[in-house]
Amino acid sequence: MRYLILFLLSLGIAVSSYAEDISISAEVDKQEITIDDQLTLTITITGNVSNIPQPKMPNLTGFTAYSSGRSQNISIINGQVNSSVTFTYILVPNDVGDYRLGPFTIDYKGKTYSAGPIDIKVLPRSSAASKSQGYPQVYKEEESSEGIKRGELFIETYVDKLTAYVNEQITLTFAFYQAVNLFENPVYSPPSTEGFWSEDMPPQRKYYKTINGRRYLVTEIKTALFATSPGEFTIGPARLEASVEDLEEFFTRNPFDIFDRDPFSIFHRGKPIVLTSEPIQVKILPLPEDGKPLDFKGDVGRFDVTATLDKNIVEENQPVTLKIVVKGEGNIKTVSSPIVKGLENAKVYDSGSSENISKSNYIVQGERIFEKVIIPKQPGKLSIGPIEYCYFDIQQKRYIKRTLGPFTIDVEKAKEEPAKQEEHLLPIEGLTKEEVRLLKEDIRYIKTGPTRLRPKGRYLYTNKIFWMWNILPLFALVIFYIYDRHRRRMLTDIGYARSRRARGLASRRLRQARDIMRQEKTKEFYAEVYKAVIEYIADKINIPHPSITKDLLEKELKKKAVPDSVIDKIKDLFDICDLARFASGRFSRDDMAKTFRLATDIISEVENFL
Amino acid sequence: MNRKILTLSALVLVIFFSMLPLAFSQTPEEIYRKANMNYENLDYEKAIYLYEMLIKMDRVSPEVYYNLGNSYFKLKKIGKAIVNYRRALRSMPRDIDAKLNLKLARTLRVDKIETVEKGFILGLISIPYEVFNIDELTILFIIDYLITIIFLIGLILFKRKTFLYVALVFASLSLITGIYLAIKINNEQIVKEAVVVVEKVDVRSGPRDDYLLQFTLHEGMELKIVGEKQDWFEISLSKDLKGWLPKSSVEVI
Repeated sequence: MRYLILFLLSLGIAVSSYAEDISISAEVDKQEITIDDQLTLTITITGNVSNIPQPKMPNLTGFTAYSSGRSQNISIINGQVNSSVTFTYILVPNDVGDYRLGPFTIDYKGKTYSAGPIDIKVLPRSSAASKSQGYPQVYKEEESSEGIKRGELFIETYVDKLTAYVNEQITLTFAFYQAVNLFENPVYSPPSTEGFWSEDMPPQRKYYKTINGRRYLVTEIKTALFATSPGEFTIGPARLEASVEDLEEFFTRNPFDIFDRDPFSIFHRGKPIVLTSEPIQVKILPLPEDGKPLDFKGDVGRFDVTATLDKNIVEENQPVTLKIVVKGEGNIKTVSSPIVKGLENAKVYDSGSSENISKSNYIVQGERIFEKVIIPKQPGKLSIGPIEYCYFDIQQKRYIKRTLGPFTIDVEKAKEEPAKQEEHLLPIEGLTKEEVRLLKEDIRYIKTGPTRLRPKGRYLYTNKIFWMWNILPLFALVIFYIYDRHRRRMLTDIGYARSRRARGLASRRLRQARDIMRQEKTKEFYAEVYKAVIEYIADKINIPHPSITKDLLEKELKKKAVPDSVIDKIKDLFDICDLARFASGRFSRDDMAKTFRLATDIISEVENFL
Repeated sequence: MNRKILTLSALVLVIFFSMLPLAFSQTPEEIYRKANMNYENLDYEKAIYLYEMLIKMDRVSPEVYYNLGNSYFKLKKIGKAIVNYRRALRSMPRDIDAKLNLKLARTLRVDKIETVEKGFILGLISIPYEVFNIDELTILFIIDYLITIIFLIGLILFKRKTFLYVALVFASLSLITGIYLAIKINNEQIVKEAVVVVEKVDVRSGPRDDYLLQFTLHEGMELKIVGEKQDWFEISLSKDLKGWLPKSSVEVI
């Protein structure tokens, strides 16, 4: 009887499914999850119908669901259409407990098909589970629990350790959580890291994370910090400016009505948000003094040293390159050069250093290569080394000294001529041939001959007397030039010549007049004075002597802007002279002397104007 | 009374004779000779002390600077060596020894400077600048000037066209030497140059320790001083490399 019922039932299902040929199934990827995990629910509907309906979503108590896509599969075999549609949902638990999902039903042509229900167990967060996610979470744990009331957008910064040694790597992580689309790229201002040597560690990491039932896209930027000195330091705060959609709208939105939304909502103005993170206090410990080697230069990390020589046999005065590689984890850029001892019989030149840095697993590591050019001074065996390198091992918390060598090379006597040798110089990286040649040379010896010791800063050009002596020839030249010009004018310019000679002639005549005065020849005296003055003026204004009249003279003098007082004097003189010529007896010797003075006055006064 | 005078004069004599060798050794020439002797005996520190004493006494010569540079070189003080070679070369720019030693010292410094090779024409033009010192250029300038004047006077007296041409040639020569002289005085006396004399110095963006670090220079680097404030020099290496460093880290040439 029971079998019969079962048989009939199965037959009924078979018949009905044959007729409609539609079925529904529901699956989850796991049935036990932790609160910060998520699960994938897949609902598959298969049938030989072309338009498969959407399944009705049951009440998913305790979970928040996100549609994650729909995929369709259509196959046509022997004219029979077979199609299957898969709906995928991401379910995020809201709370701890046992939940039942479903049943999931679908209505098709008045019939209802169903699948499920599925039982899910949500466990509390376990440390093992979070570690398995594979990123540092030391301070994130607390932050996340605090973040219950956090919105869909927040940032946080955290470090992997709060106490570190000087020059030990501290990894600073900046994380940006977003559960909403941004309108534009956010502007990130990194936290201030004063007192640290910082090293960016690309690439940015992006992943999804669920906190309190909300699924966030997390963007992580990591920076390696190396403290430069001990003490208390503050990192941060970091800042991020972003622009989001209006939040009110977001809260009221059903996660499933993505397609019902106003397609133009994207054009709504974004709401600007400024996010800041908490500053972090970090304590930097000084390196222990215990067992600190004398030649320790501050390298912290884990390093290994290797050294190689480019050749073992070398000719005297030819360079050998010693390459020392310091490789490991730590601040590669500040790694100091290992000390090479025992190079008294050679010249050493640091030809530079280079570094290769990688940041895989967010640990600064790599190698720094030091090159030294060694030029042996004498043939024989040259021992290079030991090479010593000290660093502070961060894991063992003690100083470690690595020693290499010594290496021995054979130095042969130079066979070739020194001049020829230069042709065979081997090129060394970072140095020109000229420099390599120079390296082998010693400086020229000091000068032991006599020397003139003088106060410094004495230059000829600062000596005033020197310049004065040298200006003299210039004066000589000027004098020569002026004299030459005068001479030439005297030869060519009659007016100039007459004018220049006038005074000389006048004074000669006046001297004669004085002699005549002594002889008491009154008439002759006045004639001579008259001649002296009138010829003087005629010469000065370049008028031929015979054509001179008193009126012409006066006119010409006025033209030359000679003052009236002078002209009046001249007129007086001429009147006296005229008078004396006719009545010479009336003039005494005193009168003559007066007239003579008047004449000399006139000449010297006219000289000023002409 | 007599005895008193005797003892007094004896005392004076004793003091005089004891002072004599001291006074004698204090002549600059004697110090110079002594310094050279110390260098020959490989006592470079003593030699440096004596050469520096001459500089303090303001009795110097290019040889003093050159020998001092050598002494510093021997003690691997590349910066000080470069300063003193540069000083020596200012007075004796044709000295091959000083030029070679300066080149060697420059090779040994950590910072490498790209030197731009001068072209043929520029090299030719800069020969008089590099070959003569300030005094020699001054004398050349004066000689050209005097010859110009003599020929101008000759032109006045004898009225020959050739005198004018000769005078013009020498006038342009004196103009050229005058330009060289002006440039040289500007570069050596007015613009101050200095050399880094400490192993390493941080160049900052301002004249205080808490300004941002711009770049680091090593011993022997040559630079121009463009300004100063208290204990700091503002320096420039090229158009875009400028900064401040403490005065004590460099020595002015």
